[in-house]
Amino acid sequence: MGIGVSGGGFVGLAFESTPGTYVAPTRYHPVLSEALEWQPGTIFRRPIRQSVDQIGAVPGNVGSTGTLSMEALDDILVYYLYAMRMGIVKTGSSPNFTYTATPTSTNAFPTRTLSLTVIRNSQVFGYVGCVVSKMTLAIQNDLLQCDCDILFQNEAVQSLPAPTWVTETPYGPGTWSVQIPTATQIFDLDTFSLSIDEAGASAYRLKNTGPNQGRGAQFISMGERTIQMTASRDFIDRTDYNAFQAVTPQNLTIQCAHGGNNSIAFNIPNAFKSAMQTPLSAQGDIIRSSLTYDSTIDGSGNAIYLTIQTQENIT
Amino acid sequence: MPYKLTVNLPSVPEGRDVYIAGLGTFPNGGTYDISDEQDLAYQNAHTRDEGHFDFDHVAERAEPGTGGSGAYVHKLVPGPSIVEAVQSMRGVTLEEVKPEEPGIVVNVTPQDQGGED
Repeated sequence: MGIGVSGGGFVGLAFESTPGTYVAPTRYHPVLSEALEWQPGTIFRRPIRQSVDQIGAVPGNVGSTGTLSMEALDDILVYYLYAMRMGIVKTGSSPNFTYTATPTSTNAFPTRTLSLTVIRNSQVFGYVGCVVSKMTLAIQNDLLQCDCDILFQNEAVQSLPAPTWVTETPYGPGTWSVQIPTATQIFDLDTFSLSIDEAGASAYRLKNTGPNQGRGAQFISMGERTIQMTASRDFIDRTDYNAFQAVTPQNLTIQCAHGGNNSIAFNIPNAFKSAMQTPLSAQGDIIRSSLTYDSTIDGSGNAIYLTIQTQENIT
Repeated sequence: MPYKLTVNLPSVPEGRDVYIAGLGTFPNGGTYDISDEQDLAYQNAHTRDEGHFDFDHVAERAEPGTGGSGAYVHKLVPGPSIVEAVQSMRGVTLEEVKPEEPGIVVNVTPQDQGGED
């Protein structure tokens, strides 16, 4: 096989019926990069035995890491939200659907798991039991980009699939409505980064059966969730700064939309500013504030609401 | 032999464009004629190089003592036919179109056309 280029590769996903059991891709989407990595967890031995070198290796617990970066597309984002601890309500009728995602707190496990198939130089890598440990929605290269930190249970070769690509339109300039507070549109924010961190971790148990000769994770658990947003705004007056000093929460919403039936929006009902830096830098620099918002739950027990309008019919 | 390609991805709305690399863009929910030429173009678009670095071959030809880097020997292999590829395309099916049966041919001779002798 010749040496390939990354552009010839592709990624596909599918919901798993049984967590950890491979399912061939049912949907393909373009990615900006991926770095899914299977880790052997090898234990290198250093007992004292007349040597200062590692004397041997023992197969360890198989681990996983990696980030999948992609343009945030309304017909794909919901699949990855399902692989987090999200309660997702689907409303609407064909062809227009609305998926409303709110975080859940009763389980250590995500709502569903994914099989991710990555083709590199025509070689198939099938990752199973995939969950999203952390999702970041941010503006990169003037487009809304989604980065998913993925944890998985195992990887094995699978049959080479043939992909199909659905036409989608990313969200960029001219699609934004930033509302701080919600329902009051502002025009002084030029970038943001929202992260939803589920604190995922592979859980290993003593065993001798299962994938990787019993060295794989028994499951992937999620812990304390942290929802945080950073943003950069033009500094006008002390109004927002006074609210920062008074530790006053704000209800904020950021939405991007193509027409009335395609949009991605998130609402943080109780956003506390934990940092607000407003420096005088260089002579010609516009005075701007770098803000960090931390989310807490509202009266309904939700720390964030994500609303996706799309024509994708996910079952 | 031409084909009928049906594109019907279940999660995608009818009419949304679906792109199949090497074949084209098709609105979801429709059936489309695919010719043998398009199948050939699909195979060409998915050509892969299964070559290798031939170190032994170069070493034989290199002057003694100089060593030499392995030359890459290309081996271009056409991609799968669209018939084979659709087997792993969810929501896409292919049907072969059988040629029409030839009709009865009547040979018309000059005597049959009548006219003066």
